[in-house]
Order: sequence, then structure tokens, then C-alpha cells
Amino acid sequence: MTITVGAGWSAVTGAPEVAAPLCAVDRWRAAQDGDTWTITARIVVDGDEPNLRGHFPGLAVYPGIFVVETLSQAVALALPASGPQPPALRVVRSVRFLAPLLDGDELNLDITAMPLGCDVDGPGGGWDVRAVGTRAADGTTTARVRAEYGPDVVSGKWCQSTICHSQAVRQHGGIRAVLPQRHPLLLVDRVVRLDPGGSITTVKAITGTEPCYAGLPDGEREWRYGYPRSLMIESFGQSAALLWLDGHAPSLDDDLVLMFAGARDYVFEGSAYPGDVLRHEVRLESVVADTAFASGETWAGDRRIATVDTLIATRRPVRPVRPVGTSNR
Amino acid sequence: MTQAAEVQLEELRELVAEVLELEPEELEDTGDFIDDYEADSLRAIEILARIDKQYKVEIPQAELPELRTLKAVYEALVRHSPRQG
Repeated sequence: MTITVGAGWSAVTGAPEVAAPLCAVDRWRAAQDGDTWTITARIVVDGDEPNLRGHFPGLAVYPGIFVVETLSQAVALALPASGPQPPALRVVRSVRFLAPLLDGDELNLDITAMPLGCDVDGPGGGWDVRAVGTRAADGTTTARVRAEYGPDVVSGKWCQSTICHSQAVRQHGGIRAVLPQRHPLLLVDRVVRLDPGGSITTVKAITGTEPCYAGLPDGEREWRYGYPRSLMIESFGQSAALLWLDGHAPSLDDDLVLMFAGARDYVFEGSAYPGDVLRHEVRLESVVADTAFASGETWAGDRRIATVDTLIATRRPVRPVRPVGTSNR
Repeated sequence: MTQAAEVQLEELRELVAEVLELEPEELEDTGDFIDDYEADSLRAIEILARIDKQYKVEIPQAELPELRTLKAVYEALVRHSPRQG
């Protein structure tokens, strides 16, 4: 639900109509020129928002993947859909996270959307979407995204699951010892297989009690309950971090924070719903200059729901920008 | 430049253009990744990682700051490739 405010902006007043980790747009405006839409979305980072309290304790950073969530919500608000379901995120062609957004920062996301050509697979075409995120106060570029949105596609292959989810080489406590994220944004439950420096298999169970389902209206439109794809990417990224760190928590006295730097050709082939167990199969491709490159797949039971060409993580200094416990409000 | 070298340069142009999200014909030999193609520092790291994977050639990280053009990347690749024949 939106209400019109000044200068062509509409303010967002209700929760998104599909499952989402947070309301990721405060206000937006859109203009159409022929087939092309230009959309601007704004969100002020709120360090007291539950997700940000867990990302990270003592240092609220707007998770990179929430820029993609802001994009998805802006696309759902502004672009015409071909049915009742808003355009779904089908492919992240490329995303780069260039600078962090901290408590009190405002994200300005400039979006251009064009209809995809007729030669593209999938029903009803869809949209080729490009977005540049800047910090509204000083214009610093924070993120660039290229993605495809449109009617959802279910094309993932099936296979008999051979992994026993009850086995664990690392339980939840052990994951907490390595990853800095906390509830509700610690999105790996267990490590079920680890080949150090090579590959990892992790699981994340989805239930109807996840915070992302709290604000949804009742009804039988099952697509509303698709697990947010931004969180699926984050969960895959955290699995890649577990593989890269190989069970060693980063040293407390270095000022480097593990950052999700970007991804390439992250293709969704299906959705996950409450009751599903996500299984991430992640391979470490290479590590160059403290930057890790990973690839892999995500399964929901015996259905493959995503393939990942490249996910990039790096270690960057974040803390010197603004010390822990202070805010720029 | 020998024919083999030209083939390798064109192969590398495709690899670098993909990382920079350009068409290969847009990428000039001496175009600066940062000034001319709006690349960030991570792209050079990504190019290094792809060269490592595709050619099994490790270009030292210390050379990263100089790898700002296709020509520089090509010369680094040749310099660090095992000598053949």
C-alpha cells in the first residue's frame, strides 16, 4: 500500500505483499518513457530494525543483499505485472557491493527497467533491470545490480537426495563461533559435509515461524510464501564464508570484516516454502588477494532451485569508518 | 605478434570484457579499466582469478595496481606463463 507524498514520491505504508525480511522501501517514484521505466527508491537504514541488530551486533550494516531486496520491492511496486503475482527475481546477472550503508545512511536506488526480448525463455517475457545504489548524503556509489524479473519459472532439475540432514560435521553452535551474523540473519543451521578448501554442504530449514512470514495477509495464494530470494542468496553466501574460513573465526584484533562483494549469474529455478530444507552445495573456485570466488547450487529437498556461477566475498575494513556504538543520526 | 599470440590476445579480450561487462569490441588494448570503463578494484582481482582458472597461470598480487589495461594484463600473462618449446 502506498500514499502519494510531495515531488512525485509515493510513501510505502504497508508490508510487502510477498514474504520479505523487512520493508525495504520507504518511498519511491516512477516514470515511463515508451517501453522503459525509470524508478527511484529510497530507504533509510534503521539500526534498530531486528535484522540489523543481528547484522552485526554492535555495528549495524545494511546487508548488501538487502539492496537486492530494495530493488525487488521497488520493482513489485512500480512495474506492471502480467498476473496477480508481482514480477519475481529470476536471475541476478551481476551484483557488486562497493561501499557499506550504516545506521542512519539513506540508500538511493536508481533503477531502469526494459522489457526483455522475445527470444528469452520463460513465460510472458519479463524485465531487464539495472540499478545503481548511492548513499543519498554524499553520492558515494554503494552497489550496482543487473537482474531479470518476471513471471516465475520452475525449471530446476530433480534428483534423489543422498544427504542425511541429521548428520552434522558442524552444529549451530559451531557456526556461531565462526560467522559474525546473528539472529534473525544467521541463515545457516548446520554443516553436513566439509572438504576443507574444496567444497561444503550446508542446510537451512525454513518454517512458517520465520520473521519474513509475520506480516503477510491470510489467503491461499501460495506464491506469497516463497522464501525471500535475497535471504536465499545471503544463506548461500554464509555457507561460502564457512567454507572459506574453514572453521576458523576471523581474528578479533584485525579490523577486517568478511563482506559479500558480489555475484554473477545467480539463476533461480524454483522457490522454497515453509517446511522445505534448503541445501547449499558450494565449491571454492579460487582465493586471490583476500577475495574468495565460489560457485554452486541450492536444493529444496530433491528439487534444484538455484545455480550460482560466481559468488565473491572479500575482507574489508569497515570499523574505521564509524566506531562501534556510535551513529551518524 | 605471431598468430598464436593474436589468438591468445583475443581470447583474453573476451575474458576481460566479460568481467568488465562490456562487448569485446568495446575493449581497446590500452583503454584504462578504471578511467575508461568505470571498473572498481575488485574487477582486476576477478580477472586474476579467471586467468588462474583458465590458464593455470598465477600472476602475483603485487602486480594488481599495474593491471589497468588489456595490454598490461596480456603482458603479465605472457611474462608469468611457463616458456614453451
